[in-house]
Order: sequence, then C-alpha cells, then structure tokens
Amino acid sequence: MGKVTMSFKQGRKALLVKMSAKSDKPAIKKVIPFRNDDVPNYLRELDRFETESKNACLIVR
Amino acid sequence: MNRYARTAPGQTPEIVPVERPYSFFGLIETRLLGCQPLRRILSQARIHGARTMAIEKLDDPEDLREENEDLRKRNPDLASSAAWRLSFFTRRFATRRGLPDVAEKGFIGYLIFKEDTAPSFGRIGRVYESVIRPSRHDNNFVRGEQAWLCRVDGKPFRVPGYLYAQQNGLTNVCAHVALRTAAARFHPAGDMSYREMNQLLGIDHVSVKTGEENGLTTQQMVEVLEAAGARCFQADYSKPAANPPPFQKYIYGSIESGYPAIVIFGTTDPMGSLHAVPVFGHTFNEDTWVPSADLSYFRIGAGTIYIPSESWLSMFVAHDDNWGSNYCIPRHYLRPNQHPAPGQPAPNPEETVSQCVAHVISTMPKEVQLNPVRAEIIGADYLFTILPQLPTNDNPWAKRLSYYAKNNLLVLRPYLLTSTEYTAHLARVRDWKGNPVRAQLVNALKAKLVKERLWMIELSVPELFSANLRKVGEVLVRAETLPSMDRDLGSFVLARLPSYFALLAGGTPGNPQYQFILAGTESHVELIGCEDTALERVKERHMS
Repeated sequence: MGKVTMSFKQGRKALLVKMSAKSDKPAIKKVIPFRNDDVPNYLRELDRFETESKNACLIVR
Repeated sequence: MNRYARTAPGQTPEIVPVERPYSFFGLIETRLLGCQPLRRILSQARIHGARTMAIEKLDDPEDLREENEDLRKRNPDLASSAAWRLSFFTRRFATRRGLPDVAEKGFIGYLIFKEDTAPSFGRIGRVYESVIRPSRHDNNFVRGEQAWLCRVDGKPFRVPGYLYAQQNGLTNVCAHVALRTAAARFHPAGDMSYREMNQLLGIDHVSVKTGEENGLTTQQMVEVLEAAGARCFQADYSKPAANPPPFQKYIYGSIESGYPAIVIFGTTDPMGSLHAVPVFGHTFNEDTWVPSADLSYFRIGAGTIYIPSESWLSMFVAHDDNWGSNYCIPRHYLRPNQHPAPGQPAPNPEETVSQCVAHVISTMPKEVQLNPVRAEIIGADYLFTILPQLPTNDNPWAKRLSYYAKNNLLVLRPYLLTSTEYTAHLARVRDWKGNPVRAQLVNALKAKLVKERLWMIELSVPELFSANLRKVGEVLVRAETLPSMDRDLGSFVLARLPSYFALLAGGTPGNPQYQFILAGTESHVELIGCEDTALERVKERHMS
C-alpha cells in the first residue's frame, strides 16, 4: 500500500495544530491584510523580463 | 577514479624546493610556455606559503586521451600532446620520501599543464585544470565548494575549491570552461567533460566545430547545465528592458546559498565577442558605506523599499579563464549595458560593451522553481505586512523595527535550505540574552515542517546585520513550486519575528489570518551560516 502523503496546505495546518499545542500561552490571532499591490505588480514586470531573458540568444566564445 | 589527470599515476615526481630564491617566473619562462593563467596560479601558491612543489609527467589519463581524440578529429594533424601535474605544499621536503609525512592541510592544490602541438594551430600550452585553496582572508565567503581528490606520487590529498580550467580554443571555448566549473556542482560524477557537453550539443568537431569564430549560445549553456542537474535562472541585459532587477541579485541569490552563477559580459575585442566567467563567492565588507547611499535601496514600489543584504558585498570571487583562478572582481566594476534613450545615437560599441554585463545565468538544484529574486520579493511582501501588526508584548524590538521599516532601512537576505537545515539552525541560535527557541517548538517543526527545499528570507537592520551578523526574524517560502502572480498564500510556510512565530491560520488571500505563538527568543539571533562567527564576535567584543 502506498504511503499517504499530505498536501502542502494540510501539512501547514498540521504544523499549526502541533505548534499551538506546544504553546504555553494562548496564541494571538490577527487578520492582517496586505498593505498595497507593490509586489504583485512588480512580479508581473519581473515575469516579462525573465521570460524575455530566456529567449535571448547570445554567442559566448 | 583514475580517469582524471588529477588522480592518474604519473612518472617519478620531481621534488622542487620553491622557497626563496626559487623563481616561479623562471619556471614559466623556461618550461611552461609563458602561459598567463599559470602566473596567477603560481602566485596563489606563493601567497599560501608554498615551500615545495612536485612535478609529475602524466602518462595517458582517460580524460586527456578523450580530449586528444576530439582534437585529432578537429585537427587531424595533431602531432603531440603531453601533460604535467604540479602540486604545491606548505611543508618543506627535498625528496619523494617526504611526501608520506605531508598532512592534508599542508596541501595547497594542484594544476594540470597540457601542451598540444600541430602544424595547423602551432604549440598550445594551457592550464587544463587547477584547484587551489580559496583565499586565507576571513571576509571571503565561498560556499558549496567540492573537496577535489588529487594523487601525488600515489598519495591522496583533497583540496577544497571550485575547479578552474582554461580553454584550448579548439574543442572547447570560454563558455565550456565556465560551464565545467559550474556543472561540477551538480553533475552526478562530480565533473562534466567537454566531450559530454559537445555530444549533448551536437558538436562533432567535423561538421559542427567550436573555436575561432564559433562559441556556444546562452541557450546551449543552459542546456548543458540542466543536463548536469541544475536549474537555471536567466537575466538578460543585452537589450533595453523596463526596470530590470540589478544583475547582482541573481548572482548573489545563487552564490550565497552555495551554487555558482555565470556572468557573461562584453570585452574590448573588436569582434564584439562575449566572455563568460563563473562566480562562486563574495567578500563581505562590514564597514562599507554603500548601504547608506540611495543606490543601494531596492524599490519594489512606493510602499516597499528595503536594503538587499548584497549591499555589503564588495567583490565577487570568480575564475577568468584568460587570467587564472580565484580573482576578486569589484562589484561595481561590472555594470549592465547602458542603452541609449529613444532618439539618441548609439555610442561606440567598443565603449558601451566593454565590461558590461550582458547576461547572467544563476544556478540552483533542479527541484527549485522559485528564483532568489522572486523569493526575496515575496518574502518582503509577507514580512512587511506582518511586521506593523506584530503583537508588541513590550518587546523593544517591535518598536525599533517600526522605525527601521518607516525609514526603508530593513535588510533582507535570501538563503536556500531544506527543512532539516532550518530546524538545525533554529536549534543552534540564541537571542542576545542567550535564550534559545523553545525546544518543544523546534521538535514540532522537525515533525511537521514540509520536507522540501525552502527559501528563508532573513530580516535584519543595517547595524545588526553588518556588525553582529544577526537578524530579527525570517520568513520561509516554498522553493519547489512557482506561486501565482496574485497572492494565493500558497507559498507561505511560516514567519518568525521578535518573540513570535507567525503561522497562517485561515482567512482569505485578501485577508489572511495569522496565529502568533511565543517563540522563546525575544530579540535578535545569528544569521544562518554565521552561528559560530557571531558567537565569537560577541565574545571578542564583550558587548552588552
């Protein structure tokens, strides 16, 4: 029988449960929204740059 | 094991005392064809305090025989080939009977000198390969180097370093030798032969040749590295691009985690040819002014500006096949090509291309999907979002970090590691008062942390980072998956900040909910890889 593996998200949840159980004080929960769209915007630009970089074909001697 | 010239049997060694008044200049002029990179390699032997040299003429090791077969295909008039192994020792001895008493730490390194002769190309003498110990300076950081096995008169010695090689300009060019240095880090055999590279690329030395005007393309270079087992991330600066990231970020992200990068730049050659050098280390200057200057800020957007940790890097450590091994190249000497503004005439190509970086190939293990530049940016997104909302718990570092964040003075450092390496790191670190991360939490992480490669983005502030080699926290981001452009929280593993771990507890991608768990440490801890160094500095400086 094959080994049953957890998805990443299930593993992350299991880590949260295990670490919460080891906490000696009540954990604090907070909802923290992202502050701005700097990163998604930059990643889109970066994606274009890196895609074009892969297509570059320079000759090295 | 004896396939290689570095380990193959040689003829009876000639033992040469090389202390003053012995002259390496004389050796090069009389026996080694004035080969330029040899001057640098012998200089390194001198710097390392060489007292004795062994010279062995090699019989016919398999790797050299293979190269000669390929040379003969390309140049059927190949008339002769010979090779010598030169090894350097800090111990003084006068005959081969002294060799068995030489300890490994007394072995500085070796070089293989190869001489090929043919009417079609004349007489070529070159350094087929060499490994010399890295610099003795403690501000040099070279990670991921192999321990190269070498045999001298049958006695095995190991020398750490990145292998240097010089092209013959016929069956291999500078692209091949840069690839050889980098590919060895990944190749299952620990070294990649030129024949393997050429066969992969369909270079048969008859209908398809290298040398003279023919080199390798950047795409072929990537093909070779990926065949060796690497993942390549490319950044191209040969054409104008909108807001490209600094090329240094691609190099640093690789070398700091122990993987080499290849930098391709223009030369003063009138043909406009491009040259490739492998980069595998850097120097760290704790007193550098650069992070205080505007030019060192990395601006993701108006609200996300920080100082990359490579701002304290002053030199890249690299080989240059034309000149030799283990050179320090000033970081600001290499620069990207300045493309003329629209409507402006293009400057003289020789002026613009010379020493300008045209392309960077950074390497990582093949499992890695997320490159260091993206990892750092994604890490910044999480850290800079969580930081202002961190429960203060009367911790002065929460207030201090708020000051540094408002003034765009936070420092980020990306580092690739496994979950096992992360938990081992956590088990070793101590905060400024000597508190460890709670053992129960470290054990929970050992049991449940995802078993794959992760990017750890370390967070620090300038004084703490440069003087103490310490940090206030880190965020872990998955390295083996490529997250979507939009935030789906799929790559976030956890963050650790002063006093707390932050774990994702639900919410939506737009409004993630975090759970803060007391970590045991309250202030700052050692950067990864600097645990012992940081401790020593604390002891030495008696800082309170």
